[in-house]
Amino acid sequence: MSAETVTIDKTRCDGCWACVRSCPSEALQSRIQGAVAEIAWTAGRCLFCRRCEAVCPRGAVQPGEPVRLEHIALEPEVLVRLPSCACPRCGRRFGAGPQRSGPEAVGKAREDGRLLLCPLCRQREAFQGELAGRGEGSRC
Amino acid sequence: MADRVKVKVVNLGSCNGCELEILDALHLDPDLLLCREGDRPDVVLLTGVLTMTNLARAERERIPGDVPLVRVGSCAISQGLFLPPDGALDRVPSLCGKAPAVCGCPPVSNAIAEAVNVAVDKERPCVSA
Amino acid sequence: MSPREVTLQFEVPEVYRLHLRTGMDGTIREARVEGELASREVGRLVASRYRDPHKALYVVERVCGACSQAHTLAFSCAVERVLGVSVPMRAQAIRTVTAELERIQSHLLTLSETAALAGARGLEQELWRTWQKVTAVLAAVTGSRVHYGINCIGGVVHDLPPEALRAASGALADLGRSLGDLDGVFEREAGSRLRGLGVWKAAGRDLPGTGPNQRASGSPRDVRAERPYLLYADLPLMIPIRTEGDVLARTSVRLEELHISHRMVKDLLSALPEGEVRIADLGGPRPGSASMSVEAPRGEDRHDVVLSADGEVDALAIRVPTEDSLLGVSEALIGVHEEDARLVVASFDLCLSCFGGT
Repeated sequence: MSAETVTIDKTRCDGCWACVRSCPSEALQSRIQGAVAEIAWTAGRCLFCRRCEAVCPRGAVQPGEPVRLEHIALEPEVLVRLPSCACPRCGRRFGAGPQRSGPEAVGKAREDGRLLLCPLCRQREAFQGELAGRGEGSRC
Repeated sequence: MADRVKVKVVNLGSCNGCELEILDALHLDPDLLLCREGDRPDVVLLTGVLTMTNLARAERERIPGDVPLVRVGSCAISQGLFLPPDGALDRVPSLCGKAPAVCGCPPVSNAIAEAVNVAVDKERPCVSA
Repeated sequence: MSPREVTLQFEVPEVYRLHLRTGMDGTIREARVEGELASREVGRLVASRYRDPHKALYVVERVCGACSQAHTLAFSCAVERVLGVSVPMRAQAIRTVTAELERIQSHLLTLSETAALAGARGLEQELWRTWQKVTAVLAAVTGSRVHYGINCIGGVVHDLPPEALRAASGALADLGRSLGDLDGVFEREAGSRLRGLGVWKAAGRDLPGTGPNQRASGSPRDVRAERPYLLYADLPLMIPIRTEGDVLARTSVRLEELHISHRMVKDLLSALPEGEVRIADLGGPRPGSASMSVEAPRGEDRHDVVLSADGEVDALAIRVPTEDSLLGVSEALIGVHEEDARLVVASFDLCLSCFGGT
């Protein structure tokens, strides 16, 4: 039952940042550095509540090894890097996994244009859908 | 027979979750004991939300000089989820930045016991003048 | 000894200052507990920064490390009332199990501290070993030793699959054996010190609040009996009462409650209702306000929640049982010798982290 690190499987992550948005203590943070989007984790902020693991829609977030004493508590540790792309709605750059930036994204976008949006616009879109009674219930 | 390690806890204002695990650590490791009033501690465990105000108050009254310091739990390391609205950490003095930290909310008792033993072995004063 | 004013500061298991005015012989004339040293204003924090009720649960949990289940339960239930949803029976059972295990954990913490201060070191060790056992049951049921994270809006976050249930039942049986050895133990080992010490009478005074301190001084109040929630209306609920109001009575009531809670958990785990553990669809956001009171280990814990049209928390007010205990402490300390002050305070189980957390 020791505190375990947070890891993100790059092959599953699609940059939706649900983990970052769900984190109660901002231990997980997203940042854009030019053409690269990162998710970083700071052990000293982490509550080890594993909510990030629970909300990840792709099972990309997994517990790692037990946190060692030598773990530098306030240094953010980059967990995953993805290419960044620009949101067609707001223009901001965000991290995009293959589902968004690869060839499959084009096909999917025909069905659901939200996939190409950045996480904020996507969330806003879903929220407005709820208010308009489209009944897209939010996940915990 | 090894000397018992006298542990003092300075509680800056915690939910007491860390205190539970600290008490368990003291029971798990027979060489650790809670420091008595008036005794000089061998190590100080810091718990609770670490802000400039809390720390200034505690330093004046409760944290003795040149005794190794260990930060226990996310509140004492980074304010945990009580961090101020602008997201910025108070600029706590460098002494706390260098003190060993046991991550968790709360960390488990054997991790705390390990940290205490490591801090005492290193015999490094973590409180600057 | 001369009359004087003295301030004592304590850090573990909780931080507070005790201000005393004593007479020539060291007996206390006036006493005040300064318990605001853990002030974190969770209600205000939630309404400003954690307005999403799902996220707010993590903050609400951290009002207190020894009664975190009580807080998340009260909060979840208040939100569920606003949303107009009913939690499935299996989830209610798991919530009840966790609440009663937490009561055992919290009482054992207080009893261990009381034994230490009464000079009964062997008893303190035995009580702590028992605390370790109930913590093992909690870990088996919830996955965590402290801050269980088991409640969510609409139920509990995960189920108890058969192997977890087996582990929990085994750990519970081990706990039961230890509890069996604790009958009347304070009377035997420290009775002469604790009897007649720190008397506080609550009966017939129409004081607010419930909890073991009231029940130890003749006031039989318990939210689980007065306003049943979870599965308490269907469980045989026994409420131990004492009338002496001294340290021994407060200790004995808690000791008896250990057995009663253990019995409830055993009965619940052996017959968990089938079904879901969580509501799949909470429906859209709905504005409104609701209140929920639970019997936390120290007494009535009440959460008042206001939700906005967007489903966010506009306001959260938490009333904790500490206020009632603080009144008791300041009365009970009059006439007590300064050397016994800390022991009397410990017997009230103040929970100042709750007090500072609101």
